[in-house]
Amino acid sequence: MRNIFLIAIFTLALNTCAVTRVAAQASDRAYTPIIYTAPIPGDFTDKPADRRISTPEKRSKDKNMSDSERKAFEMQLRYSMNSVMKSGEIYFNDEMSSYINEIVAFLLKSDPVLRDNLRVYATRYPVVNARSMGEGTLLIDIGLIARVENEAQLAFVIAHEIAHYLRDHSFEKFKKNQDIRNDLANSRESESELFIKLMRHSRKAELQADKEGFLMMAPSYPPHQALAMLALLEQSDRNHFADSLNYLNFFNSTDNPLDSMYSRLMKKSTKDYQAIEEKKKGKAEEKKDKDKDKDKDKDKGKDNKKEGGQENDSEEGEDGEDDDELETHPDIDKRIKQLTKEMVTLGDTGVSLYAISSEKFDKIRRIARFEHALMLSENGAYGQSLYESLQLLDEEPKNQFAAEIAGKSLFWLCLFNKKGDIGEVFTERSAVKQASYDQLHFLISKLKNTDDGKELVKVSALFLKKYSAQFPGSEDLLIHYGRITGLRADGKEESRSIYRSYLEKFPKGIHANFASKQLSNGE
Amino acid sequence: MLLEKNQQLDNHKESIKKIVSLSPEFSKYKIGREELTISYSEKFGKRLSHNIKKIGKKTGLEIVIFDDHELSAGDVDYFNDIIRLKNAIRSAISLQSVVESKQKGKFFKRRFSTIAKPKVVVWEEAPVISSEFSYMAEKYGTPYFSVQGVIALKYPNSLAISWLIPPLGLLSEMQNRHATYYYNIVVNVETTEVIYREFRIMYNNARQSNIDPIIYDSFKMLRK
Repeated sequence: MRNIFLIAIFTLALNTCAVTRVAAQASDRAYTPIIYTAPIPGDFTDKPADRRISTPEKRSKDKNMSDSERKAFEMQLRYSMNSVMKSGEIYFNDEMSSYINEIVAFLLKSDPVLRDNLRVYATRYPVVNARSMGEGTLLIDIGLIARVENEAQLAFVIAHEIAHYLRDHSFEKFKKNQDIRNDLANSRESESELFIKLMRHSRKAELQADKEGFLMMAPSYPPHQALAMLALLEQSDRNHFADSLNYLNFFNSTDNPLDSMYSRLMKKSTKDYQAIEEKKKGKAEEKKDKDKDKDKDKDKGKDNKKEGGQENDSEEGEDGEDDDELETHPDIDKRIKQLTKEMVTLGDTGVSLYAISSEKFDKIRRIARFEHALMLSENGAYGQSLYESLQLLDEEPKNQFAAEIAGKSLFWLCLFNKKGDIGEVFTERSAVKQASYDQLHFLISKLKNTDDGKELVKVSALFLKKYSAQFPGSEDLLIHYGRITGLRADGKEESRSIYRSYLEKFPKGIHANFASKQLSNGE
Repeated sequence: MLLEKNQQLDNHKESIKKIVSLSPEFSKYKIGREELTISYSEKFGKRLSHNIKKIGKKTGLEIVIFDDHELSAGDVDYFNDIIRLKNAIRSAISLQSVVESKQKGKFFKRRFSTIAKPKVVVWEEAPVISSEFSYMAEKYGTPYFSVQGVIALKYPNSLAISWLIPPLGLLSEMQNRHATYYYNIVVNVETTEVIYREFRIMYNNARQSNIDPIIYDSFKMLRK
């Protein structure tokens, strides 16, 4: 009894510590990043041998599967899940994961056994994706949560992953992989032929999961949202942010106005960008016309085939086009086409977009967007994290956290530029295909090429100075203001005085040891 | 063999007494004729952690290991500190190039390394991590943190048919079908700099008796 009491106090103390830390920061940062709190779920602490494996019913009943196959697959699952869950990339005890679990419970309200077999978590992966791991764990990426427009769309993705689990697609893929290896060893087919086969199998599984996921979500959520979700996936290289953003709002400081060269540069970059866009548009239209001509030729070819009595042996559906033969997922048009057919039989179900709550959805999507920007900066995608944090700062000008991510990103861009590595962390036309992203890339490129990169340091330092004054409680902004000032050849003394004021303000701050070291090193 | 150090390392040597090792990794792969398979076992990792600690003691270093073999429900520091720092070090190493200082000395010494005297590259500018980890120096009682690991590869066996031609069979049997890689990256969270990094290749199997001397030598490099 005494032991239970001690454990309870210990657990409570751990939780209280974490909550106090969060609350202290939440009061003045407008957003507080997720901190892992105890107690850690067993999925994250279990040893591979003790890991919980929820076998789908299909696999338990499969008589074609040998014991050794089952063992090999489960061994692989146990160890790969062990490294995924302990990688620090999966959230636990957080609001996003708990909201997703509420959706799962709602979708599976008539099947509590299946519900209990599933463990669902949000991940820190910035891509627009989700995955079923094959042993009962579903992982929903933060990039997807940040991107969806409503709860119904999220429910469709979750239902799609549940369908993968029920159909045991991960084991099927494992088996297919082994068959292909054997075929390769026996040299029956070429490597590329086998790869195409594997991809075809994967696309079939995706279409099946689409259909069954759709049927699972349709009674509870408006079914047309499944189509909207697929259309959104087609545009996963764009994000929800505005296509235009006036960057001068952030970089033009009133107490220390930027010189006219910078204003000229900004105007020029906008003008140049428009020219590039127009050029691109022209090229795109030209390509469209060419594609149209190609399609016409294809149609002619098809007619000729039909006349010749040849059969279409593709597994891709009735139109037989195989443009996606090297892809794991089918072409979005094919996926939409399949669900549109199902829509006709279902009709309008008259249900709401939100079964849990629209407020909760807005809240977790906001969390996802801030975590996404943070994640990008932690992964070294500083160009993209600068872009997203500036967009967030534009939406919420009083958000200290957004300013901190932007400030940190600027510091790292300057440092990488100094080392000659900026291309590694700010890629042109990267994951974001958006005019405002290109514009920022153009602007940073111009600044880094001006005065041997000094202009970029100058503008970034002004940004950090401005926001350090606006958010005097921010440790991150002040320390990075000091660090960026230190990048200037004549900025050493100034940066030391910034470190001194940091230590006066935050003697126990998270950067305090660094600041003290910088001061003692200079002595 | 690649041994690289920060110009400042020699100043650090006196103060390097304790290093926190961030979840050392042991990965074992078997390269087949067509595919690469991973050998799953917890015991390799556990043994590596144990030996790192033991060898550290021999060289006068206190090595504290935080790994994922024995996590409990209260070990949130593993997720909030250890893994985050480990990921930050990996990211810094993979993204940032280093500036080497111009080395003086004899031509042979500058260009070649021998087993007895490995060539050490000195950095003028080292990779850096974020200063937000500097609080860990106080929390863990040392500013020095390391990312260590072993990667063991086993190549396919010779074809049985080669034994039919004796000299060829003997030759192919003499070839080493193992490669073991050892890496060690040490960072000072107070200065934010990577102070030491090494990458060693040994064409022998990953038996502990083969790995231990490498770890010993690696720790000695940090001390002498």
